[in-house]
Amino acid sequence: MKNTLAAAALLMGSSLFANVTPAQALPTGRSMDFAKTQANVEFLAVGKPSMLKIRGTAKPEGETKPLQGNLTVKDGVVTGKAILALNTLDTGIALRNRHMKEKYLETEKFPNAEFTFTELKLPDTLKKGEGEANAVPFKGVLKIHGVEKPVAGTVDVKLSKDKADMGFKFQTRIPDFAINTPSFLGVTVAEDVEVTVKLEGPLT
Amino acid sequence: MKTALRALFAVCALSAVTAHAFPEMIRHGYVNCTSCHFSPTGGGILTAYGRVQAEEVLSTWSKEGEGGVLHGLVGDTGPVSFGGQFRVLQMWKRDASFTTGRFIWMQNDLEAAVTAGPVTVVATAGIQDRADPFVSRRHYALWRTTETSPWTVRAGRFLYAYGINTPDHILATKRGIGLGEDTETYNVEFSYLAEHFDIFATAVLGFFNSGYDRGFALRGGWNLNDRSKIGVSFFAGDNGVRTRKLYGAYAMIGFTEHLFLLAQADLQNVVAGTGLGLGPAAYARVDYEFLKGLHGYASGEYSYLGGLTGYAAGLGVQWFPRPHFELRLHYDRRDDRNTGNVPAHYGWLMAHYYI
Repeated sequence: MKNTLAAAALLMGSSLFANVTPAQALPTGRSMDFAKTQANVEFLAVGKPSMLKIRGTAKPEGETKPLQGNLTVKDGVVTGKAILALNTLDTGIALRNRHMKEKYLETEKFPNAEFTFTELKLPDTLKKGEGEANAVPFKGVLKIHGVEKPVAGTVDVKLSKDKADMGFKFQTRIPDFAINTPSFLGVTVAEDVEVTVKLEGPLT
Repeated sequence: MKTALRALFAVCALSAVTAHAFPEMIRHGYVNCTSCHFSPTGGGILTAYGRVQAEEVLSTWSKEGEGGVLHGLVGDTGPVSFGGQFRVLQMWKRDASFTTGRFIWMQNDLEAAVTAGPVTVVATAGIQDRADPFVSRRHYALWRTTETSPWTVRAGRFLYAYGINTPDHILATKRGIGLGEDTETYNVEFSYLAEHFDIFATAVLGFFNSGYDRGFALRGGWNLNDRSKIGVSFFAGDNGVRTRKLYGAYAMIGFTEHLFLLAQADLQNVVAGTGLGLGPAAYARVDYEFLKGLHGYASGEYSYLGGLTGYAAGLGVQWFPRPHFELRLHYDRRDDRNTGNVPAHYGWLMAHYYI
């Protein structure tokens, strides 16, 4: 369960993607509002020694979508900020969820994970606003548990006239965010967590 | 011959099942067994973590702490863990000549594990309906350098790692290839569990009596993703009656958290002794969890071993109503050594309780 928690932490990291950039700074860019996208935020953590796989997924709570924020694409540069409600993370086991949120993420105190893009430059092939590119590097700042840390990953991008499809992937470490290593009855979560975020929605 | 085969059937049916493992837990990300079981190959006494999973994941209903020893009545016992398996089965078989049914006490085993530093000692003690009523099917020592070490060394009596460790001991891929009930041998096992793969290498040393395997076994698995695994197995050895090699492949595929497949195919090559020749054994089970703890499944088997063809096609329901309890109702249309190699309708209702 603790593992789950750790995984949740990771997810938070994933929540990073998105959005961002003050809209007024990019008046001529195209924007994606995360609340209007099909967003899938997941983390994958591993519990040792059995190598238990803990996958956490952000799930909507009623009408509220887990991921908020937006991103803007202007002249091939992506800016923006994403906010993930950590209480929406679900690892499939209720007790694990509870441990993750209460004991490790402390979601009452730190309800959100935030990600701000610091560097995402689309390749020339996408500068016209349409096309496809894989494994484009990006950098950003992830804030979880009140701690900010730089992270780096890759994104697969598919742009069309009025739509964007993006798949972000990055790794982060639980101890970087002042979160205790999740451990429960002999199962200890590995420090590294993989975060994936998939966004599909209108780019207007 | 037919009478002899029926007698064999009766003896086999009376035999106890070995450990109780749940390879289907892979659909929840449990790609290896050691989260929930002390044994690296699964089955038998549960860890404290495993008892919590019985509440959280396995059972239809539960309350906090119910998965503990004796339903939580026994609190923290420190480095000593307790367990025990009890199972009864009502079997029914109808073929062209006979309709038979019998009630069978399959298993009455107590089990304990004691951990001291990097070493854990596990042992079972049970009684059985045989001339020698006392039995210890498993007793071994485990050594792991640290709590999270991927390496484990195990020595003692247990069933060596080969294929999927399912409790269905009558399967073609279990009993059919000599890995059914009461086939535990003395072994020395090295296992390595990595994030994406696992390896088991076992020196199989036999047992006091003749008729038990001696040789070596290898098993390797690769995690396709966080809820699916494929692997291969190999065994070479003899049991004093025949010398053989086994080659196997298996798959445990969790399509979703509710739908999974267990499949295994083996090729046995008996190179000396009885049952000479090459023959396959295969098993597959597709299972769907309709609601938490309640499963329906379809299964099939095929084998051609020792010159005899065997097959089975069945349906079943498995239910884990609360921690500690399991009920299973199974029906097969079967024609193999379990039915005396005559076509038969074969069914059973099994009740399992662990303390």
